[in-house]
Amino acid sequence: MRYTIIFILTVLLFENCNSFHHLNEKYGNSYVGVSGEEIKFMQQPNWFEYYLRSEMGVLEYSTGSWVRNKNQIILNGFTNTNIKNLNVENKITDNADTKDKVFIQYKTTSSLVKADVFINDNEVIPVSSDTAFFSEFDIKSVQIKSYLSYTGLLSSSPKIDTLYSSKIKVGNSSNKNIDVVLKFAVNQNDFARIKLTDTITVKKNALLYHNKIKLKKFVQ
Amino acid sequence: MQSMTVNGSSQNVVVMNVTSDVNAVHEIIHAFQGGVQHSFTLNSEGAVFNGANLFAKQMTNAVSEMQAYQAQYAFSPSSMPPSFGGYVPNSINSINAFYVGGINQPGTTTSVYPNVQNMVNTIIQQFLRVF
Repeated sequence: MRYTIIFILTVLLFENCNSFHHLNEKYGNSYVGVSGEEIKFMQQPNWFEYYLRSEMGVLEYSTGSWVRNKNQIILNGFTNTNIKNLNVENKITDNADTKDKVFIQYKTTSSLVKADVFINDNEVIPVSSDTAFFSEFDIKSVQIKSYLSYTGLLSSSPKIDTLYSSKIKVGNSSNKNIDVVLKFAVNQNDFARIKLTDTITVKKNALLYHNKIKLKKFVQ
Repeated sequence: MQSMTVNGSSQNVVVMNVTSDVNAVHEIIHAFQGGVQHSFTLNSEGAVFNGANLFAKQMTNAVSEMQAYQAQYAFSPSSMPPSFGGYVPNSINSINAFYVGGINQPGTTTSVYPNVQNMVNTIIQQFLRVF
C-alpha cells in the first residue's frame, strides 16, 4: 500500500513539473478546422513562429526568439524596428567581365508577391524568380523592395504594404567589375506581420495558455 | 491552389486541409466556388475576391461563406459555430452575412471573416445614418 502511494505521488510530482523539454512542437487551437492560433517552437536557437489563421489564409504572423522563465514563455517577435525588414543574404566577389553582374536567388510561394531590385537608388529591376543580369552602371549599392500585387480583396488583408531590405553598400575600390549575389525569400505571410511581445503560460507539456486561449500540442 | 502532376500533366489542384467530415463539406463548397465556378480566385496562400467596388468584393466573400455554412448546416446543424452574442442559426435561411460576420476566433473578439465583418459594419452604419 505504502509503495503504491509513493508511486502515485511520484507520477503526480513529475506530471506537475511542467516538463517542456521537447519544444520542437506545434501548439494551437483549431476551430472546426477553419481558423485558430498556432505557435511553433524551435530550439537551438530558441525561435518561434506565430500564426493566426483564417479559413483562407494567414491573418497575423510573427516570428522571433523565446525565453523560458519557470512556467512562462516570453515571446519576442517583430518590433517597430524590424517589422518591415526583408532579410537578404549577399555575397560580393570580383569578376573578369566588362560589367558588374547581379545574381538573384529569390523564392516565393505566392504569385501575388513581387520583388524589385534597386541599383544605386534609382535603377529598378523587377524580378520574379532566380535570374541574373548585367548592370549598365558601376554598382554602388543594392536594395530589395517587396510588395503584394493583386486586384480584388484578399481573404486575409495584409498588415504590411511593403518590405525593404537594408541598403547593401558595394564598395569597389579596386576598379574591378564585381558579381553581386542576392539571396532572399518572401511569402504572403510576411505581409501579415504583427508586432508581438507576449507571454505564454505553460500549464502542462501538452497545454499552453495564451491570453486565456488554450493551445494544445498538435498530435503528429 | 497548387500546381502538381495529375494523370501525367501539370494541373492546378485545390488542396484542402480538413479536420472532420463537417469541415470537409464546408471546404469542398469553397473548392467548387474557386476551382469550378471561379466566383473568386484561389492562389497558393488564400483567395482573392473580385467585384466592382470594395462592398461588392466583401459581398463576394460573404456569399461564399454563406453558401459553405448552408451546406455545413444541411450536413450537420449542430456543427454551426456561434456568432455575435452566442447566436447559432436554427434554419438554413438564417445563415446570412450578419451571422458569418459575427463569427469570432474562439475566446477572442477577432473576426474569423474580417472582410464580412467590415461589410456588415458598413451596412449597420448606413442603416443608422438613414434612421
